[in-house]
Amino acid sequence: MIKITNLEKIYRTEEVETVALNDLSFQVKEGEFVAVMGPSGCGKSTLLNILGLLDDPDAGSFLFNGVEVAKFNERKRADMRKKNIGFVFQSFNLIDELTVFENVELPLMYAGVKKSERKARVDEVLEKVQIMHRRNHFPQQLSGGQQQRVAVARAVVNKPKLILADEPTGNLDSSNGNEVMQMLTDLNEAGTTIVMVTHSEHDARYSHRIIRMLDGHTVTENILV
Amino acid sequence: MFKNYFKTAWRSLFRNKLTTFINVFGLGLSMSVGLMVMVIVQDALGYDRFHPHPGSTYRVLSDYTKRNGEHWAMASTPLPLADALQKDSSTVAAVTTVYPALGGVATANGKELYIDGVFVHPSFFSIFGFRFNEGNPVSALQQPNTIVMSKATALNFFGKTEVVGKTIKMANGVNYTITGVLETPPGKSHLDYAVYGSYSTVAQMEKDGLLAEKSAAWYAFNAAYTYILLKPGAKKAVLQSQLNAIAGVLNRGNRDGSCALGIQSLNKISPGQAYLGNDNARGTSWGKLYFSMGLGLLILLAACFNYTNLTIARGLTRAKEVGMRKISGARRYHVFLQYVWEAVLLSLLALLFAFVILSVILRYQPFNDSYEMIPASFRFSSRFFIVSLLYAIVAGTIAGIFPAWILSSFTPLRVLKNIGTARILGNVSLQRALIVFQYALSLVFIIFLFAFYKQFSFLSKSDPGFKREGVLIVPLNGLKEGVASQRVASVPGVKSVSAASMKFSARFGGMNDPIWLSDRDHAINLNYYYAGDRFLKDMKLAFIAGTNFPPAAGEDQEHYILLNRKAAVAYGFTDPGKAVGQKLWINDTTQLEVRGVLKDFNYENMGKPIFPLAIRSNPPANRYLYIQTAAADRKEIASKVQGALQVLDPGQPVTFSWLSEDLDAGNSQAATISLLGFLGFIALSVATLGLLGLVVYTVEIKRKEIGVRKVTGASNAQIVHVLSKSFVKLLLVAGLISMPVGWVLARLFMQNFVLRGSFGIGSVLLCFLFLLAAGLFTIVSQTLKAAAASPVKALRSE
Repeated sequence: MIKITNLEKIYRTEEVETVALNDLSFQVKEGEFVAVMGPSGCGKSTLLNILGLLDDPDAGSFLFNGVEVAKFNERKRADMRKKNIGFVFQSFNLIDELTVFENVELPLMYAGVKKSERKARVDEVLEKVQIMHRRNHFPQQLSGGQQQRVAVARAVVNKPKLILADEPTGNLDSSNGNEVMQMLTDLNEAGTTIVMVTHSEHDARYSHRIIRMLDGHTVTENILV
Repeated sequence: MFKNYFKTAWRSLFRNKLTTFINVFGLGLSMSVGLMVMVIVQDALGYDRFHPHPGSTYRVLSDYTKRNGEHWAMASTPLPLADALQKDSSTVAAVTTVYPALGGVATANGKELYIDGVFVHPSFFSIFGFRFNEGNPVSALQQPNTIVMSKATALNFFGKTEVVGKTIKMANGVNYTITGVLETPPGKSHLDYAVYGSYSTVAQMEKDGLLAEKSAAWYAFNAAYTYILLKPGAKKAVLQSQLNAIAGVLNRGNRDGSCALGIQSLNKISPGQAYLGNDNARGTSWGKLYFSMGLGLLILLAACFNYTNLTIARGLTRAKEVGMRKISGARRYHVFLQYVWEAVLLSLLALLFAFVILSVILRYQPFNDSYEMIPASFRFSSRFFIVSLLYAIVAGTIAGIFPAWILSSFTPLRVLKNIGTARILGNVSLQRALIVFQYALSLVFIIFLFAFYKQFSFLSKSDPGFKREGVLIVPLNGLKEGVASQRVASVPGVKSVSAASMKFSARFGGMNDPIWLSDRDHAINLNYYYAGDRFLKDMKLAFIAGTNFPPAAGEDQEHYILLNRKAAVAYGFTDPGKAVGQKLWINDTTQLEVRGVLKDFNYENMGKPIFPLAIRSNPPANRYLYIQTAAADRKEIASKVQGALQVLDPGQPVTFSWLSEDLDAGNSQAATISLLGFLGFIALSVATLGLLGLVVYTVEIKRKEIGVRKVTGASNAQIVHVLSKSFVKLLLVAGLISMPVGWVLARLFMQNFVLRGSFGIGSVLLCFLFLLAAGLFTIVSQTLKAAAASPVKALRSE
């Protein structure tokens, strides 16, 4: 599903040049659950941004489902993103002014899905993440774990092929963290490809494979399954 | 999608109550000015809408150019024009002259009232949409000496409208039979007179020498107005060529210059055009309308700019939302529309607030005195609501476009990485410049307002040169002076009673006629009043030469006249003593002897220079009692005087006023001060809200800096100082710019007055201190809050 080859990303300011990704290459197959680990500043988040088509690389190739997307413009990237990718963030990033239902409904609305279908799909996914009873609450009224479940629901409501999770349990206690990890595992078992950036060895063990990064490139790959 | 926009916008406005309040307050205040302008515009455009043939009724205009190049464009035309046009029946359905020569004092039913009137052709009522309450519109003005009066006039004279057949007598002795009473018109018209006399009366009056002979004077272009109703299907161009032909004939017989005649559609008459002389348009002019609209737009733009500023400042806290929307698939236009809609929603809320302000203004009329700034006759209509709604939508869109553009440009990456969003406004130099501009403008406004207030309160308290305290004025309203005086004199607390033909007020309310010494060609148009010897004594008017009227002067025949010093000088007597004993012609047959010269006194607005004035004596012309009262309970005396007069005419309510209050009201310009105060308040509020926006924004982007300063040991006071000083500098710059400008403007304004109050640097500084205090409060309230906040959160969120 994902094949990146010799990927490079350099951040430049007037005086400093920071190499975020340096000649990075790896692949992710459809249905895989991959964890990316490494110390702060090793390039994990940059990688995730590029994989999520939020940023573009300076050099190298990025094939997504066999299509070269490295040089896509913003509009094409947004289209590709909308149809294929769901995001889960450490800080949940729910919209405070929208209820649980409306937050989850958002991607469907922008995708132009009809109201009746939206309702059915949102209800279905809320049921799946067991937050149905809170559907009319606002994010501030929920616990961290509940908020992350809503965020996961929002990420999957559009049935993306790929979920990118950036420290999904970073703001949660261990019990809520485990619940979220179990949810991601369930999604993966149902066929969704997952790439997760994490500092947690515990969380990484939920994945099939761990890519360890340092200074912008991979140092090791551990296959767990 | 729209519902989602609405929900998000509504919840966001609700969650951020302070920001919403600031925006609704600022925009609402500015929009209330916009609504006031709309009321004025609607009123100005609402003239002559009830006439039956708006598309085919025209007023004839004339244009005269003298050989030396002098040029006049006039709304008036010569009197014979109407008859000449009437002869061509192919295009013209009806023509009427409107000849404003009927006004003056009229007597009917034992009452004397001043009325304004015009002579019109019988066809007047077929051209215009006035309806008859009594009488027949077709026959009403066929005969000479017939008159149709407005309903209000009939009620004033007779207390009823069934008055057809009764007689009204004008001051020149001409009697008119009332042949019709009009209904109250359904709307405003530029033709709005108390009485309409038959044009056929004019010929006889000219014969009798009661009117100047103009009915055959083709070159008297300023004599009257001519209105034409075209036949159905008749072409304007044909009428124009007919007028050209008439002008051609006139030009052939004229060596002094040339004229042209044109037409103006009835619905284009009001608002009036500044270039048009003798214009009988009513209401405001296009010039004033454009000025009002410009002012409204300027204030609205300033408020919109504040909304923009505040929203962008707040946008920093909403970046996450934009990012998430985009990650969820929103395109830029989705986000853009959402923010524009939010601004529109806020603008609609502001509109509600503006409606509240407008309703208060309409109810209490704080900006109206003798001049109706805000038309009192205005009523809310569905059309007004629709236009207001569109206005709010446009205002919201203007305010929302820029922040929507900025916020929708956030890329998800920028937001997620939490960089770059902080300095979306660059170094805010434009904002700073605009804040300086807004504050400078407000300060100029405040300084000017303060000067205006000081000047008029000085005028209202100045000595006018006659007794102003303890004088009760009661209009006689047809009561006999002698009887009324006697009854009032017996009221306890009344010291003396006298009478005059006018009431002292800010505007001259007397008469004006040519009066000459020996050569009629050197006649002076002299203002004059009627009053008796007792009035002059009671009002403590001082003589600098000669003496007062003898008692009972003018009762049989008028012999004497008094002049003020200016009048004596105007007749060439710099030594007032020499004027005494001179005889002045008041018409071709009557001479009056100058019996005394009065020290000049301010008989109209205190700010105006004193013009020549005469006082004549003719007891029947007296219309007001001047009652000198002892320093006692004013209310009690007034009610006793009312009671004493009420028995003389139980059907007529007795009104009264105190001279000192009349003069204060006339000279203090309370309505103008209220309006300027309101505009000044808006200017200051808008500037303060703008400053608030900038301070909030700055505090927002300096949150980390504040946190670092705090953890390194800065006290709250030090942080407030660091954050505030650049803003205080802005206020100082604004002050440096506007203090001299305001001072110069204030001095220029005061140059218009003969009597001037004091307005020095101290007053200007006082205004600046006031503005500085308002600004400092705004700045410190925010910076103190930021300084007091815990640094932990700010640093962690970084």
